Amino acid sequence: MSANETDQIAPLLLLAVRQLEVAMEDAAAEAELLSRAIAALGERGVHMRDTGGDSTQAKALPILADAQRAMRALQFHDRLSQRVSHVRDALEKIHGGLATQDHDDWQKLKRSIRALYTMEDERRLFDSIVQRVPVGPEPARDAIPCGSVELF
Amino acid sequence: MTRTILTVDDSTSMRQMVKATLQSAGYGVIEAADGQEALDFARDNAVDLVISDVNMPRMDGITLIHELRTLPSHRLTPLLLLTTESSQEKKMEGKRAGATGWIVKPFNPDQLLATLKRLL
Repeated sequence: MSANETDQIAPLLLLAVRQLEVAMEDAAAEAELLSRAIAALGERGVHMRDTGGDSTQAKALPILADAQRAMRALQFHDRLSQRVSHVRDALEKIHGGLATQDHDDWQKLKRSIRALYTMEDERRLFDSIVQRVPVGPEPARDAIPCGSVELF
Repeated sequence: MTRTILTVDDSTSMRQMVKATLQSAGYGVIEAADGQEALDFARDNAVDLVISDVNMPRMDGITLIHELRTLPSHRLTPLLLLTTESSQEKKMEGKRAGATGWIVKPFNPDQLLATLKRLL
């Protein structure tokens, strides 16, 4: 890559990093508000279940079920923000290594970027696209072991 | 007697979700935003169980587990890792550090409470 091309690409990479940061900050603030609202809904449901009469208790159950579903759904924000932060960190590393001409340095950079991806499906994508390793068919969405509990 | 659970995550919304789930079942909850904060608290305070994220700034969850196991007061405390990581390799790292179990996010509130009931 020529010095001129590097000069053109570097600020664009920094811009992408900053845009991702702003998006993550916005989303985190909203997610926090939502999580507080869901927690409050759950608390109200628990209070109704534990202190009300039969009919109040019956009304509390769907509220508690809704709060639980919402809690589970909102946790996807956590997965999403982790994925975005891995991409942001990878772009930052690429920005730092743009000027390098050395093949070994690029290999080192790729290894350090792979290490950023902590989820199995992220690493799978990396290996398939960057390392061009055949990784077989992508697992079905519902095959990702969300919520699985393993006691040692 | 109220059981106290220390929950460790750098995401405020995740801590909120875990806290709401635990409090709905009557547990007392202490929050920490990373492994270091959790370790500082656990050095001087007893807790009945710890639920920790893995990837966090300052100190990650696996280092936290390792450090807690060196403290005589937490040699037998159940320590659960709650994480988006699902690779076998990372799971084994957690097991070697002394974790009691591994839960993949997003957690199911009922399933989490059933697991705690088994451990406490």
